[in-house]
Amino acid sequence: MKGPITIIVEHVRGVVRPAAYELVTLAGKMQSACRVDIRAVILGDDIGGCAEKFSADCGVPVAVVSDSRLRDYSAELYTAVLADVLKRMEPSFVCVPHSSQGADFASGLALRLGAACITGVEGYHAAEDGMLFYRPIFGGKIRAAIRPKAATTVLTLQPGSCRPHTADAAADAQVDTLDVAVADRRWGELTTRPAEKTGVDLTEAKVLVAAGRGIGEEENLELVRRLAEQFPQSAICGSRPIIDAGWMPYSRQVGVTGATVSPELYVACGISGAVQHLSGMRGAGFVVSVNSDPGAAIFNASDICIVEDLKVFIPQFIQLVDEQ
Amino acid sequence: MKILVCVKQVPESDAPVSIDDATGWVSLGGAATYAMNRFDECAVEEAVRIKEAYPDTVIDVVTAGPERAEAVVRRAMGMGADNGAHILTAADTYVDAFKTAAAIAAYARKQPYDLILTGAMSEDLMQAQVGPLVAAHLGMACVTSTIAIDLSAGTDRVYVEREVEGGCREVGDIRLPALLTIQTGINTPRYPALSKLLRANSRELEIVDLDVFDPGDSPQALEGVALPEKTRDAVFLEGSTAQKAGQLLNILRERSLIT
Repeated sequence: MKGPITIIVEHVRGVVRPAAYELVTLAGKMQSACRVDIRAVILGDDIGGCAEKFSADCGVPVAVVSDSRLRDYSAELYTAVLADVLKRMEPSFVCVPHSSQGADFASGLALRLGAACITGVEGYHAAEDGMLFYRPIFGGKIRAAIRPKAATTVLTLQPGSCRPHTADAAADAQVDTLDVAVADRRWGELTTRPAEKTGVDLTEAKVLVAAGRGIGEEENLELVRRLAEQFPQSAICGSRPIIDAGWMPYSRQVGVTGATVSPELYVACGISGAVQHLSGMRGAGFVVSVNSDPGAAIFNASDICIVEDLKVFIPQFIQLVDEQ
Repeated sequence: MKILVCVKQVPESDAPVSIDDATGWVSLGGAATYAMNRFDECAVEEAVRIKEAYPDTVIDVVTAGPERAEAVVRRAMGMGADNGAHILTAADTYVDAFKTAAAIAAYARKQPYDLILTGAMSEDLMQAQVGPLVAAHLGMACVTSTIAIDLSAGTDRVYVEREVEGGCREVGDIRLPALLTIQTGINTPRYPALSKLLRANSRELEIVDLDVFDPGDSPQALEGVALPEKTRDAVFLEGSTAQKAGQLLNILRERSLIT
């Protein structure tokens, strides 16, 4: 029998991130195609209780490496320890979230294991001659299929691509503590600095009007603001290029590195639809997109698509609302 | 201080892309325009700022790409980089991150760099792999999604801040040599100076063929490309601008999303 699908459980000091449960769903689906076991690995300090819960919730045996040096994430230590653990486990697939941690260590780990590395995976296809993994390219306008050609494949799953696994019937926890030598850090140590409090909570708005790079000039933000004013309980937000340009504060950023929102209505103005942004707004009830590029990837993730110059379209729309 | 910046040429984000059935890859058409990857522009800018603070700094720039990609090396030199190199790949084909990273690492091994900067990812392939792979090949410390750099603490270390989820940052000192992948928002890249651009255009670039660094077969391969599946209805409104505005208002009213 081939090696297992091994999930690397992402957590912050024992608090498991939702992305780990999305990996359980992916692994479960892949399992029905490749008929191998599912395992999980947790690295941390005094992490046994967390491992027990994850194992019971997901019905997956968990291998634990516990060491005070693993209290906080470190690319250097994760790569070394996981390479050690996985060489013994000989997994077919190593599943990691495409997060700030997962994307940080996945490719270096793959190189050490002589494994394939496929990042930002959104889906897969179980072909007769093996698995193919889908990932978006060119801002999401094209989907590439990648075929692993090594005994082990490290893949990172784009957050939001799978529903998180929810605990059904509680299973008996299976936790195995591994004895692995953990070296001291040589690179240096990073500590986490919490986010600044801003007072803006995008998750409370029922309607979000979002601006992207396609708005062109900062002065066109005024149009976006005026459009938002047409809706009750609305707020404006932006994709990363708008925040990078300093046109809106970070607290208004929607996407992987910003807020995850699920308003009743999301109006995307000049947003290209890169996967990093889509991850933050997938949960919206209804999505309307205005973009002058008919090939923009945002349209595939929209209910209503409007190919127009928003400098022309938004004033027309506002005028119509005013008249009626 | 010796810095290497890795840059990539990518199509402009609004370039129309289609699938070329003959090659099994993406076609951008002859009219496509290309630019430096935005993440890499920030990496070049960061290197130039270091050189402005520490004038004995030397900045080398390297790209891996087809012939047209030399434009981004010259642009980086126009921004203030000293020397340029071009690892030449075939045009309009898929080049795996495994091969690109092995080639850049082999190139970088020729001299000791204190700092290697790359973009956090490329805008076209979005793999975020080349930076960490180069670091792994060279056995260097690696920090991804870097959003602040400070070298004032000493010559053997760099203070970094890296972006993590929810607005948090991981902060601290990392020892040199190190590879940092740069996140957008760290700075506003400057436009190249005309005088520097003219000088860069008259300079010879070091040109190396990708195959010189052939690391063997990649552990993964492109199987094909397709248009993405729709995740929602994607109904395109038709008609004049005014008609589309009217249709949208009706749709939103039917759903009680506007009063």
